[in-house]
Amino acid sequence: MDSYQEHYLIEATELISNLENALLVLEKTPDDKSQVEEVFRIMHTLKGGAGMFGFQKIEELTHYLENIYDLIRDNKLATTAQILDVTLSTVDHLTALLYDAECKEEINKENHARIKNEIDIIVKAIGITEATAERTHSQKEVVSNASALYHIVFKPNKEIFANGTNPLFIVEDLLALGDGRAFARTTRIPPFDKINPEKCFVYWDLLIFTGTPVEEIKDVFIFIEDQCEIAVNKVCAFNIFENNQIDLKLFENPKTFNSYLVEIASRAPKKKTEDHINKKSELSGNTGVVASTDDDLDMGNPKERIKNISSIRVASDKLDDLMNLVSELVTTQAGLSLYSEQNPDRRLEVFSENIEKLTRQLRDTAFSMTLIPINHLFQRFKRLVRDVSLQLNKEIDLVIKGGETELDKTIIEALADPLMHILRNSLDHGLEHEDERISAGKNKTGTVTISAYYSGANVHIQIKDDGKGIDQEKIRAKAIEKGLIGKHDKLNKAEILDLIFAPGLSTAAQITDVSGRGVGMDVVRKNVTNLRGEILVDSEVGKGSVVEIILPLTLSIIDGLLVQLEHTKYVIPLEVVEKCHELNAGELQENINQLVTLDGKQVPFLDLREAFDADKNTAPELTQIIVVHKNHKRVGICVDTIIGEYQAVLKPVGKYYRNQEFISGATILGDGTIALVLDTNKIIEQSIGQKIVAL
Amino acid sequence: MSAKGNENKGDGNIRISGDITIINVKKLHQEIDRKLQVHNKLKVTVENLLTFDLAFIQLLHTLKRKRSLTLNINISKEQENTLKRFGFHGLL
Repeated sequence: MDSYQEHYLIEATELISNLENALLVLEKTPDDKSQVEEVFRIMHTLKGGAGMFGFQKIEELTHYLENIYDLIRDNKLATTAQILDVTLSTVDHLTALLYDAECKEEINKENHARIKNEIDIIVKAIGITEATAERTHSQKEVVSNASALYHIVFKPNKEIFANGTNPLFIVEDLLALGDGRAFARTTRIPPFDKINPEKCFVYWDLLIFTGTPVEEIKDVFIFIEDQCEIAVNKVCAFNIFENNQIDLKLFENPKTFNSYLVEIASRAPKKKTEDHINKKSELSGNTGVVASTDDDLDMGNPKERIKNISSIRVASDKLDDLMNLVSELVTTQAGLSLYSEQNPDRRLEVFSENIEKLTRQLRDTAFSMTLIPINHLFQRFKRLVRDVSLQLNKEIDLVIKGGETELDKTIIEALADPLMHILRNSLDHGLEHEDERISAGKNKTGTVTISAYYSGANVHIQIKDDGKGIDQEKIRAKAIEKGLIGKHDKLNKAEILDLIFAPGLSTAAQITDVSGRGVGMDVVRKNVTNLRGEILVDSEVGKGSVVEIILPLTLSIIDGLLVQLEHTKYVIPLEVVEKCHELNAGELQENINQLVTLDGKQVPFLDLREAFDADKNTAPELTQIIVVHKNHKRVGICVDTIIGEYQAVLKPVGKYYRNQEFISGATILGDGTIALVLDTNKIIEQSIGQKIVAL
Repeated sequence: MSAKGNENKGDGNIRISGDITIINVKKLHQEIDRKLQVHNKLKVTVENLLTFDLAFIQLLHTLKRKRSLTLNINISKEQENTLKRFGFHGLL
């Protein structure tokens, strides 16, 4: 695939996602013209790039849809369910066409024919032809009492093609605003031997007589404002193109353009020219003519200038490479620090400390670049909820909260499937049908709320529904039937509910297309655990359920406390460390209930020496207890020595450690040896003697 | 979008037709450049264009200015009007 097509692919994927979201909003607010405008604009941009980069099938479909939405925005057609359904089907198909541009795959061929047929039905019903579509465009030639002649300078950046933008479409949109002429400036085009034909060198002077306000004229550039320089200035209040009063040749020549424009503008009667004066002319004493030169654009009032580039698009694999390099740097820096400690030298120490500081800053900056708002993921669920609600014939409201919460992109990618599964379960099994809800005294519309928020160094994601809740008795009975628990086992509510994550357990009476195949929730938990996360559930019969996923902000690097037990080093995530204490080893050995009094409070503790079956005879006289916490639960972890803080680059543990539940990963130390990362969540769970339910 | 119409006649002539856009404009530029190295005089004919974009229009401008070649542009009336509408009066 050509690099330009790859660029378009990225751009189009985003546009299609935006289009889907805009359509879902439009479905709820069909009379909102700004939403229609949004749909139209996205479609238009999508079409432009498609035509330019060889995606003719996409261009074909979006062309017809664009015409339909053009009529809607001109109040000649209403937004109907039929139109929205077809457009949403098209959205799905467009994604497929991005990877099958010529529509060769059988399934895509069928979909293409079906969608085209559906569009044709609408098109025939409203009688769109190419001619009417063109007319629709030309009818935007708004000429009112407030009309004026504007001089627009549009100077695309050289790289604009690479972003999938076709500047000709922008010129076309500007000309559609009224009675206008475009004058392409080609003087910057290098000679044949020197030109890079994939760069843009042309810019335009445009003169448009229109009733469209300046702000709306600038809206034409809304999607490319960081890819071009523009200037829009009012020249005069009369149409210079009327009655062939002008010599276009003088405008075609960039050398005579400005002087001729001044001359033309000055021909107007005084009362008409009073409001022609713009900021620039006030300063220069001339009419509102903006000079456009090959080198610089005089943009008039600096406030008018479109803002500079504030963000850039970076391929995610480049960010992955960056994070890998930073991880390597962190490990190397740890080696340097160690060497500096072992070889006292003042200058070396200063360098080492500075490099450590810079590495930490670089790590944090690189890390922040990999964080993306979870809304990217949540937005996808709107469509799922819409489709499933139609499929199940249930009225469902999806409420999204905290979409701005940022999370490592790797985690977000890995979360898509687990969240989708939980959501499907809520929609299918959690929410009742309308009649059931009404007889239960509930609102006929069920609500599913997806929310995200920060808590310490973790992100919590909740999927909550106001459905019928999980019947603990059913879960218990099913678990006994499947042999997951014994008939006489005593389990508390949290433990019973936790059984929904056991393999093969599904209490759904009916297996549906949406969910309920009895596989899934165990996989969901496995996926979440792989992300160093935790999944919890709570439910109340008749009121609803809530599933909560707790995840670390990042997967790759953590600040840790390096400790030692015998000859092995361990890392405890610093975020959970509350306090460190020192006790006589004898005090712990004589302890019979695994509780130790620290700062006047009893704290359960785990002696790692015992847990890891280390030699008790080699224990030091003084034991270090590190108190770790989680959701108000505190546990002390006993080790021999505390070495100090350490930035740990997390690596997965090998197969021999896979069944060791207190170890969640490993890290390479500065001297090349390995330290194991302790899973404090598991340690707390085991030490407290019960699972933690924070719901 | 393909360069299907970009036909090399094997002599000092090049005929450009079909879809010429950013996708294949670089290849076309290289091909003409290669021909120019071989032939002192080159005749470039543009005809039966289906799709073209700004990248190709720019290339046409460079060709028009190039003294060692002759450029003939035979495009439809509709395409001529499109060029005029976008302000490329000097090309025609």
